[in-house]
Amino acid sequence: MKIQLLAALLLALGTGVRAADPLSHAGSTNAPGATNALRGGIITCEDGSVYKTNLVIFRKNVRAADSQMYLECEWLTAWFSSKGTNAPKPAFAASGSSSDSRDIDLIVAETNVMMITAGVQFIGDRAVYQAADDVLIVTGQLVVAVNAEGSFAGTNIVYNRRSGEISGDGPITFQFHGSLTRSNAPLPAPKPK
Amino acid sequence: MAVLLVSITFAQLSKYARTKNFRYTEHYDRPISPGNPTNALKVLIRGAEGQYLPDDQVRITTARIEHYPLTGKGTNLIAITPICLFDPNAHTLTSTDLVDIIARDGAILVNGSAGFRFDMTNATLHVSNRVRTTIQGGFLKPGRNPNP
Repeated sequence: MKIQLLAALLLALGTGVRAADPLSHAGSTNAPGATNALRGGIITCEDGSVYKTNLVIFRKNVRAADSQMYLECEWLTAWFSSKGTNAPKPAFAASGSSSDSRDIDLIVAETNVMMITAGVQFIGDRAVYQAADDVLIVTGQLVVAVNAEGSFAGTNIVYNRRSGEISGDGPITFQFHGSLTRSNAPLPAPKPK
Repeated sequence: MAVLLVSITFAQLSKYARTKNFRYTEHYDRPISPGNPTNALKVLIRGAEGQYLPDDQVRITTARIEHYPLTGKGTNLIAITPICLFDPNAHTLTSTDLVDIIARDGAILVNGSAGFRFDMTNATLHVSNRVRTTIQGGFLKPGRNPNP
């Protein structure tokens, strides 16, 4: 009887482990994406995707992650540069840095967008990233950007990744995090030339 | 009469025939270059076995689909699937099985677990639910943010 109970317990445990892994095929070691996942960005979605020559669309419950950002949205479209379509790509094993192979021109994320980049987190309805000028534009009814200095709220927030500046089109409410320190110490004297 | 019967029988046999090492090619309407009159290869479909079905479709096992650009250099897309249906009239490939896709010469890797549909005419690939995609090099440019 005890042996039967033990066998049933082991069987239930095995079933539970299998049920907790919904993407078992995608995560299998035989999948080509699995071996290269750490060297590139991974996108998962529930409702399928469409691939054209220079365009990829992901639908429903989209999750995208790479070493520099994490993104959640319901609809993600990425445009690739046409110039690099047939350019020879370095092999994964041989390429120490993969930055040369990056050929995404434009990324548009729509509906319930949440994006975390280095130091800044965004929430909005639509996010557009233009690779040419390295600028992220987040728009929506309420767009919130949070970084170490504070939080910005508006309807159109522009984040320049190159300079680290956050600006906006239209009114923006800024809430400063932390405190402004006040000091009565005299200013340092200018250095003699 | 006998000739007619033989031809009908042969047609029926060939209709449901199975072929090993199935192979199908489709070419662009235009040649590779003005100096080269050969039309560029557009699609190459290979499979371990092709079975001709009554509705003019071909059931291909262990299929490999390759789509080439007009320039002929590299591949736009390579799809590998255990089984798929090829419709030569509609120029489509469909499957409900697993599919592994390598696009843009390896820059995009896709694992689909619930089927796909590839429209050869306009080179559009729909991958069904639960898709996992790996993009080589990531999404954003390398970080230059001075305030990380």
